[in-house]
Amino acid sequence: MPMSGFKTIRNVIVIAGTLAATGYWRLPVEQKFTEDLRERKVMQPQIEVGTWGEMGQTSLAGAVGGLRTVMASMLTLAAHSHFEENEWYDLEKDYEVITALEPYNEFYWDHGGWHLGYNAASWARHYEEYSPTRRRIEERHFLEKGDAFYRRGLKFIPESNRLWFEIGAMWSNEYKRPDLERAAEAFAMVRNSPNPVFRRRFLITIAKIPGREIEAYDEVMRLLGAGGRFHLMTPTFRCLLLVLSSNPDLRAGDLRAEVGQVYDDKDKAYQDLYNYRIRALKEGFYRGKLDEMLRELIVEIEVPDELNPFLNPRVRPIGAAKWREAYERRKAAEAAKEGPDWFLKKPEESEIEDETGS
Amino acid sequence: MSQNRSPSFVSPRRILIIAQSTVTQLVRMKVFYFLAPVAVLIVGLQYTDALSILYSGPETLAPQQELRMHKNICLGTMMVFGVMFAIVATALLIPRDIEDRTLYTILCKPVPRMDYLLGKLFGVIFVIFIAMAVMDALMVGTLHFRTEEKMAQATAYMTELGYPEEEVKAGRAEIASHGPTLILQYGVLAHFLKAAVMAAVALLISTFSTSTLFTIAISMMVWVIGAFQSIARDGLFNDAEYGEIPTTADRIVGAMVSVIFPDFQLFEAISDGAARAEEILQSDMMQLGGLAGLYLGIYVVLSWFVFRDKEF
Repeated sequence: MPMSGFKTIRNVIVIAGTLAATGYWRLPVEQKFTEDLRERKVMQPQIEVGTWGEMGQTSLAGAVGGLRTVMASMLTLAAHSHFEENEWYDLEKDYEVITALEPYNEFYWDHGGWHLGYNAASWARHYEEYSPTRRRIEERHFLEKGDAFYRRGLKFIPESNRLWFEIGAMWSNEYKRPDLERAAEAFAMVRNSPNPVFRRRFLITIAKIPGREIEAYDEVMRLLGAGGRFHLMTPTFRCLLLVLSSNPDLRAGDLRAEVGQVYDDKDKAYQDLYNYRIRALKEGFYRGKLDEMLRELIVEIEVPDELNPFLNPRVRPIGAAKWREAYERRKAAEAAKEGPDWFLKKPEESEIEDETGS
Repeated sequence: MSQNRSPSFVSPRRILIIAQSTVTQLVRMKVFYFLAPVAVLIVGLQYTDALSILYSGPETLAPQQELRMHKNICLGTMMVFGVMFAIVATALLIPRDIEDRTLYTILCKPVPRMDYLLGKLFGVIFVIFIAMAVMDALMVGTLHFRTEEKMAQATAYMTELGYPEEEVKAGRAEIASHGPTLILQYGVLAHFLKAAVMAAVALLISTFSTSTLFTIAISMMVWVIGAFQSIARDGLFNDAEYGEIPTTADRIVGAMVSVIFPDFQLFEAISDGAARAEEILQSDMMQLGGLAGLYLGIYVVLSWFVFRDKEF
């Protein structure tokens, strides 16, 4: 055997032997480190076998080259173009891959679920080439897909309040196929979220479900006890506090909030309750003794007939903060020259309650 | 008598001189100037908000995600640049020295081959360090301004909605955690260590390779397989996730892959975690640094073993 051949064989043996010996020592160390990082969610889980097949060449190359997160970001561009073209199944595949690449990113689960549960479902609902029955079936199909997508995200990020909130928001959306029980089940998971909007949504949902008024009362009192000052800034919360307290089926000893305890200004109380009544009629909120409260206030603060819902039913809420002054001003102006009724105008933006959580 | 004394096995001074000449050699290579502006351009692109202009998708509406995307692209650029540079530069060095006959003038002097190899490796690693430091500075600068902008927007929005002060503070802190932090620097360091290990791998391959192309191709393969190493290793320590017990053949292949190739997923994990602003501990970095040092040590010693009696 020539010398160079001998050297090559010797080198190969030494290299293999050294790597094997050091490898034997380092493998348990690497494995322990890997498991520790996985447990702390610093390391992403392995990509599932099924997902490899769905990945395009670019994503595959990216994932192999250690660019999982970059590829996930880039794939959202492709997903966005599928969204613009209404290619829902391609979009779903995109998000399958995106979330496989970066499963601990709540944003991707949120947006994947939103695309399926909102955009795809709305598209199906209005797609003219489908028969009405198929539209309903497809819409339901995408709603369930959206729900399932959010829930898959929760397996990776069980602490995500956002995903639970989005499930609840989807099932309580009045422009979709509301299922308030399912929404309430999801919102119940964010009852203790740091976000006050998330915390309130369970209450707001069960206040619309007949038979759960006592539970809603308990919830309103719980919220009042924990950071109630911030909740009291919200008109719906103030109204629910009053209306749920007026439930005749409340237990003996339950606290019953009065208008004077919740509001310093009875004009403001009237404005809120008036607007709440419109929402209650439209969305099915519990009404309790709402009408009695309004009637009492009408007499007490001498509400003009135009703003009395029992004499002059309106569908638009009262918009101005100081409605009476605005009303008086408008009436004075009308006396001088006739004009349209002020409260039929669009309410000011600052007066529209924000409950979207955005 | 002192004139006959053989040179010490490793001399820091000699290594430094060879490393300096390697840096000069690399700086003169056009490939360096080509790669640097590309990297700078991509990182700089973030500052111009070009992605937001091209793309108005949902990511542009979520501040944390926007910052995360910024970091992902910057860190990704650093990683690709670092690894590619490590492979190509190291693969070119020994053949270039042979071609220029510099190698003969060095090795005919009392310079141990270990010093030569270490000098070459440290030269490459130093150039990668400088390039990464520049890219890092660019990333931190652009990220800082973007984070400040997002925090100001979030504060204005939350204040307008009447959020209590503590909620506003929490919101700001959440956005700030995606800005330029120490954890982000851990991510950059992880990429640097990975590039250094790749340079050592390329050095080992170049000691027995007959062509530059072969060295680059094999090094690339090691890079790719290194990304899968943990899958092979998982099979040795755990049963498969889907209930299938690995066969003996699977275990043998898994063991071979695991012992031969370095685990690059650990480096990626730290970098990914840094981009997601996960809690990365100092002890994690110590472990990662220790592993990188171990890999470097093994590959350098093996390179020396192959190179020590190589005839030119």
